[in-house]
Amino acid sequence: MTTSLLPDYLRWASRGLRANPFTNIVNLLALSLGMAGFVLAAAAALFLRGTDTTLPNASRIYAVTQQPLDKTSGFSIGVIPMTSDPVAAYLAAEAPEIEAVTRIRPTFDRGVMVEGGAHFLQCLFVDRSFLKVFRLTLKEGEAGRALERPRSALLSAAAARRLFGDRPALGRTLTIGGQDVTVTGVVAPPAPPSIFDFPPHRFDILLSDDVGLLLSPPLPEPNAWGSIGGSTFFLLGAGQSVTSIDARLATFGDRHVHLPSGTMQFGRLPLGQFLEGLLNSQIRTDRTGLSMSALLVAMGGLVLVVASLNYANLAAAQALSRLRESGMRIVLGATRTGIITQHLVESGLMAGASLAITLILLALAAVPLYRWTGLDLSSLLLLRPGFWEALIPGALAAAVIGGLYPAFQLSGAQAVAAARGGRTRPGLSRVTFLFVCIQFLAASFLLILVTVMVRQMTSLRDFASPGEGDGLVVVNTPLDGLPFTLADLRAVLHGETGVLSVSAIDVEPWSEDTRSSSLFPTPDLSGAHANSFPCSVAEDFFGTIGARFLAGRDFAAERGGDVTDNAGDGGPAAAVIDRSLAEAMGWTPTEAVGRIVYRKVQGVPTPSRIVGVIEDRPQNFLGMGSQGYVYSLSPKAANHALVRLGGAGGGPALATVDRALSRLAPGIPVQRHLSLDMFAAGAGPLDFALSSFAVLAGAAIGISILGLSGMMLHTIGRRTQEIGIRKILGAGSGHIVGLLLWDLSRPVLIASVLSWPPAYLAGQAYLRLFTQHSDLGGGPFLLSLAFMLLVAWVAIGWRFLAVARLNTAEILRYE
Amino acid sequence: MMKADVMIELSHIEKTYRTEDLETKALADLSFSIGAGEFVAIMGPSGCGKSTLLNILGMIDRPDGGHYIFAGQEVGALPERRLVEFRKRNIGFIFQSFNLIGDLSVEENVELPLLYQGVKRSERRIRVREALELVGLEGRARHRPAQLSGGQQQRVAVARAVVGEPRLILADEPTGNLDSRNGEDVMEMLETLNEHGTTIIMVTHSPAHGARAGRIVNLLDGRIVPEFAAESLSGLS
Ligand SMILES: Nc1ncnc2c1ncn2[C@@H]1O[C@H](COP(=O)(O)OP(=O)(O)OP(=O)(O)O)[C@@H](O)[C@H]1O
Ligand SMILES: [Mg+2]
Repeated sequence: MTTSLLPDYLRWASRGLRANPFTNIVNLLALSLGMAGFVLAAAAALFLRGTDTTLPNASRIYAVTQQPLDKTSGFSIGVIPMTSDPVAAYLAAEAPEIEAVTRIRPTFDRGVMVEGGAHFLQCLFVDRSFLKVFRLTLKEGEAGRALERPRSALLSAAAARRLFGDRPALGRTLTIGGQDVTVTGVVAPPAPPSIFDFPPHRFDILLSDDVGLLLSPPLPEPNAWGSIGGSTFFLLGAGQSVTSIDARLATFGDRHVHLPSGTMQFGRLPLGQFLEGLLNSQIRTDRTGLSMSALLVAMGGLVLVVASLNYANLAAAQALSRLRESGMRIVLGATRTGIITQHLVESGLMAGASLAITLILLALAAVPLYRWTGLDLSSLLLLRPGFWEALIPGALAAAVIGGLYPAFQLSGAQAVAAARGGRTRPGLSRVTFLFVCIQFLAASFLLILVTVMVRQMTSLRDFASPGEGDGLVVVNTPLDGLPFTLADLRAVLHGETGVLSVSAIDVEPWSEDTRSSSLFPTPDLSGAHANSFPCSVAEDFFGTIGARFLAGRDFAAERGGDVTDNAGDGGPAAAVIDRSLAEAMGWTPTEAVGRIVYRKVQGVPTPSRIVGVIEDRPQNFLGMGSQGYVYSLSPKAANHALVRLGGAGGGPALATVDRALSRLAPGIPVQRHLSLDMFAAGAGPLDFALSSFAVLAGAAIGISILGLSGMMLHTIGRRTQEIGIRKILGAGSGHIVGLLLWDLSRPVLIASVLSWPPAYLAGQAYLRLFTQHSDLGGGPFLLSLAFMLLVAWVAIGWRFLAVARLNTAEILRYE
Repeated sequence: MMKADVMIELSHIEKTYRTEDLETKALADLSFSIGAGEFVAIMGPSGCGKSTLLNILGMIDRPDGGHYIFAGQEVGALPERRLVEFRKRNIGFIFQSFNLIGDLSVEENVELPLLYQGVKRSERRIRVREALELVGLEGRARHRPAQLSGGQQQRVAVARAVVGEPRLILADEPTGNLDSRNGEDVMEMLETLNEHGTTIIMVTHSPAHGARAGRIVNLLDGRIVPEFAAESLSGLS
């Protein structure tokens, strides 16, 4: 009668838990850590897939996705939940099932003049339908009219407070890029999590499209299809089925996009999944099949499994000490089921307690977490019934997994043998060893990935500064929107101390711009080729970013032929490529110089002559498949000025640049950033991935160490007699410590080596996301092995010293 | 007995164990000497301090007071490192509960002292074989201790104690866990060793085995019982 025994089981269990307070607390904490890791990963996944769910009609709002496909090579940069500008208008015109379509065009933060003061505000250009699709709450103004009139501006509540304090903002005039706009409303912050809290949709100010047309004119077709810089959302009509939209989107590209080089594939994504869609495009879900949320849940699950195994191990090690007791129970008539039930009750109690600790931990973490990441745990998890429905069975499963193994061990023949007075100190089973190995395998895998990520980030960060101690200023405001030219800037800054050189580039460094163009070694556009990241630059570019020439020469402005803008009259335009691209083409730097390469421009092979090869100097994060950079001298296209500041005069020189900018563009706020700052800002998503992996790896290592220390405590206990004998026979302390350290290191070594192949594959996959990537090499593998060994030795090994110094007479007395 | 032949000299040895609530004087003002080549039996009731004395003689425990001179060397003055050196070259141990290492084979167990003495591999093999032949277990070299009977395990322990050719063998109730047949075998081995010049100090509860030693030291409450008294004690029992 198991039920009638339950009170006894509870009593025995609580006595068992109280008997080993230290081990049990460690056990509890490890299990809680695992649960918290899992819950956080699940929360992050929910967060990525559950934005703006409380917005009216949220379930009917969709983002249009776009995927460029190269016709000949089949090359694609992936499915992006962003679109080219013309999509919205075509979609609105042809789909009666749709209630409203809106186009959002993000832009860099712009200088806004208000009542004589200048502020930099994050702007979005939105069309009239914006508030029909997104029914955001207005604190001031009327939603129905706020975007109807030309030159309207909607401020975020935070921006309104920054600009006007507590005074009403409605009706006030702002000047942006020389254009006057009127505040027609103030938007209340949307309920988190919201896409409007994250780039590219985070905003201080929403500007009506007519202002956008003036400040940043959209490209005309067909060129507009080459740029995917905005987003398109639609509100499905009530009662309409989205499948008819899917049918339209499937043929949308063929009907509207007429590009010689390739085509576009369109699709849609529910509003709630927009953020994940953005991240998925970076990890190439279309190719890998791995979505960010699945990845997160898998990683969290891994940590939970590691924690469960740990519990199983420590509980098993503890159970061994109760083997005789258990055997006596069996001899006295307890059934196997009874013994197993007793242990499950015990692990159930443990799981319940860790669940409570987990919740306390999460409650404590909620506020800082919200502050740092915008992740609102309470709205994500606690308020959703699904959370409890998932967590409680999860905790129960952890308890059963953790409790079954020791339970079976205690109910088996070993226990009876122990009671008969046979071997009372059985060795740790192979299962325990296996568990510890699995734990370290997971920890090692995560740690190697973190090392790879950190190394990649560090090597990219090096590229963000042009040289030892030097700084690079990026003028974000495009030159074609400013009343001065690059030559003017050069002239003003010439000879100033601390200013080393001035140049320009068409893509802002470390922005999210993604582009790729195929580079062919022959005019045959169906042949082998490499994928390149094309940049247009002004003179002195390479010196300004600190690039070193490996072969050939820099562009020379005097030779008219080098300037691509004038090309056509003097044969192929000049191009400089980097080492990686040369390698991708199969050439050494020296071999590459002088070669003609072909780019497809409107379906026609267009030649360039390689005049020089530089050491890799990427200026963006993800390569989206491109294998290296190709630079052409095209001052007209190079819209963002760059200024290299000399190390010594760094601070004052920055002030010099600011003075020069305000003198050249009086009354117009010009946005500029240090390249390193832009790097830091752009590194956000990568940092997010990096820190979540680091946290998970830390948790996995911590739990593994706990498991290992449980195993070692047992080993020490079992080997005390052996140690005593060895000491009497003349073994020194060093020898004993070495013996135990080897025992300790074995599972770490085995697990590390086993983790290497999967970590190698994952590391390669990660690095392939970047144009320029550090070689994987052996470093991260050996480093993580060394680190884990060190942690294990420091965390556990110190106890061996005490063991090695144990009084021999004492040890043997009790044997 | 000539002074030059003295191997062990104990004078005024004290040993007190302290636990929170209890202070046990295990050895009190103990003085005696043992000559090289002697076979001494230490006897006395349970708890009288026999094992404590043996531990001190074996240098695996230190006395709280008094002097212990081994072969002219003051043991108390030796630093730990020298003590270990000294011990592993001079002393072999045999315990009542065998104390073999379960994870090692018979020959590996016997080999251990040589390993720690830094003896070369080839020589180790020869000496392990000789030691196992001495105790009649050459056929069991690859067995684990768990696969042997108690008597066989104790013979392995004897082989391990003699393999390093120590000058002194300390045996704490070597026959305590054995039946009379096996106990007899161990006693014979000890006697053979003693005949070949090894000094032997043995703790035993068996008057018959004690009588086979050259000398009996009787302990009572941590003190040596004078010989005349000891005779009357054994007469009483
Ligand atoms: N580590 C210790 N802590 C406290 N007391 C101890 C310790 N070791 C021994 N004693 C005490 O010292 C006394 C002598 O112990 P010892 O082990 O030397 O006795 P023994 O003569 O070998 O007994 P037995 O014949 O039962 O083996 C005993 O009273 C014992 O309780
Ligand atoms: Mg004793």
